[in-house]
Amino acid sequence: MEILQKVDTIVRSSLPVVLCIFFVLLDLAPWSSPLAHAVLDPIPLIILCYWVIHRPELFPMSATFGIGLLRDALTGQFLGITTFSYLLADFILRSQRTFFANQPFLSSWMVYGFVLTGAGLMQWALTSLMEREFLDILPTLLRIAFGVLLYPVVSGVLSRVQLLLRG
Amino acid sequence: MRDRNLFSSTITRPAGAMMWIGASLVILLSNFIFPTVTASVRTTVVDILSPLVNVAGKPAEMAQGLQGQLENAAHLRAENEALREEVANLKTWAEAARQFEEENRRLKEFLRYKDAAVISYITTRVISESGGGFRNSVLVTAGSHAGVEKDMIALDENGVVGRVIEVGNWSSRVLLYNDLNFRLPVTVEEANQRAIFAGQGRQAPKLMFVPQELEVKPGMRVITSGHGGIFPAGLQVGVVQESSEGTITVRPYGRIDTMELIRLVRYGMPKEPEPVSEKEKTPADELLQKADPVKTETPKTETPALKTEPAAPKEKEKEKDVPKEKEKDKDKDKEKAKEKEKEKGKEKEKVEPSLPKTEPAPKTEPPAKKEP
Repeated sequence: MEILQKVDTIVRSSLPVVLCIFFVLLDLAPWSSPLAHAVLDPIPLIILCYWVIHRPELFPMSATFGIGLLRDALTGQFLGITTFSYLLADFILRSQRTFFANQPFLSSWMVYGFVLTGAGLMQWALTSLMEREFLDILPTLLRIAFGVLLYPVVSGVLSRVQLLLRG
Repeated sequence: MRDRNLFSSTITRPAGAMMWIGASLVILLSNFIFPTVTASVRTTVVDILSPLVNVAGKPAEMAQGLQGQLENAAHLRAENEALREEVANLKTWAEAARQFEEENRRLKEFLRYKDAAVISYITTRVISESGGGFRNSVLVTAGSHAGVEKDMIALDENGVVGRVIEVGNWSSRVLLYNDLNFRLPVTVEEANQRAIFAGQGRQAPKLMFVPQELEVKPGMRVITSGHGGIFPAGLQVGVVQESSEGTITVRPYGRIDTMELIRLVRYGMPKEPEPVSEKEKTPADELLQKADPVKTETPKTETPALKTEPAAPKEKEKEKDVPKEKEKDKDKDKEKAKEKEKEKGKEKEKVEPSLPKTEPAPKTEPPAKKEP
């Protein structure tokens, strides 16, 4: 029984990180549709933001670092770009989480919108800087817009998962 | 019950956070300082995770299959008709291609033409796209174990789709033609002009370094030039879409939005030409030999250098092996030789003089000019 309890604890505590990795991998699947990628791309950041605000102990910064690095390696872009932007978002939300956690839904949505916009623009700016060329900003803006629109749906599903974790 | 953190990390303090942010900045800078190291880290991570990425791609594969089935069901009859027409059309082309191939083979045989290199293909499956990343690339399931090498050209059934930029043991990354960093040396076929095919992101690819005075018209075919010898010439790239004010855009043949399987072109360098024996010589060889006897002569199997180099040490060894006792007899031998020479001199006086046997007879030497 103790072993089962331990397994249960491990599964519950690792679920947020596993969920985030799953969506990173799902975004990389060959969907052959830019729309699918635009929808799936911001989901890992929504998951990260949600857990950092609501259950930060289940989403440590080491996991944020690892997920960012994993995404950079698998997408084939410069290592550290996603990592740096995710970590900055994580740091801002984690340091102010008591304030954000007590906000009404609309305010948290707005906060998430700012974080997603900042992270997206930072990735674009860093990549442009490293490529020494201004990259097309439209796909980035499209992904930000999809991310903001998807937040209520994804956070609704995640709140259910959070209830499940409480058991 | 309160969940414990799996990572047992309590990093919520600013110092810990700064450590992780600093680490990410170091990695970011290492792209410039140690580009090979970051590239190898990337390929290693991709190699390790490629089975997982492959599994994660299954839903996309299923969704595509379902979409394809639905589309097929809707347009089955019309598609069937179109395919029948295409098959009939292709049959005539196939017959023509066979004839040309045979003719080409015979002509090459006649001229003993050796192709610059051998072309072979590695067919592989696309398991991942770059997703929301800024780079347009795909991951494929073939790596160095399958013979994949950097800079190999990737083709779909229509034409060029990209170029291999990173090779792992079990997977490789192919940079697609719509990436900003994609460059490919090409030839505008009808204008016979070399150019560089450059990816432009969401916009159509462009041709760079084309002289302005040259007239490149829409509809002209663009093929690989093979310049540099990394990939073969003549692979289909696209067709000129628009040409105005020094800007030439290309509509590529390759379809990067629907590719599942791609072929990587392996282009081997030529081997040493085999010597042509007298029996195998063709009329073309004889003609060429008359024109340039040196080039068509059967090459010697041993070069003078190979003959002389090993001989030198043997002679030295022999010299070392001569016993000291024999050295004493040398004087006696010399005396005997002198006596023999004297005898031979007497015989030569009697018989007509002839050339010595050790020296080769100058058969082809031109006649010596008579001195006045």
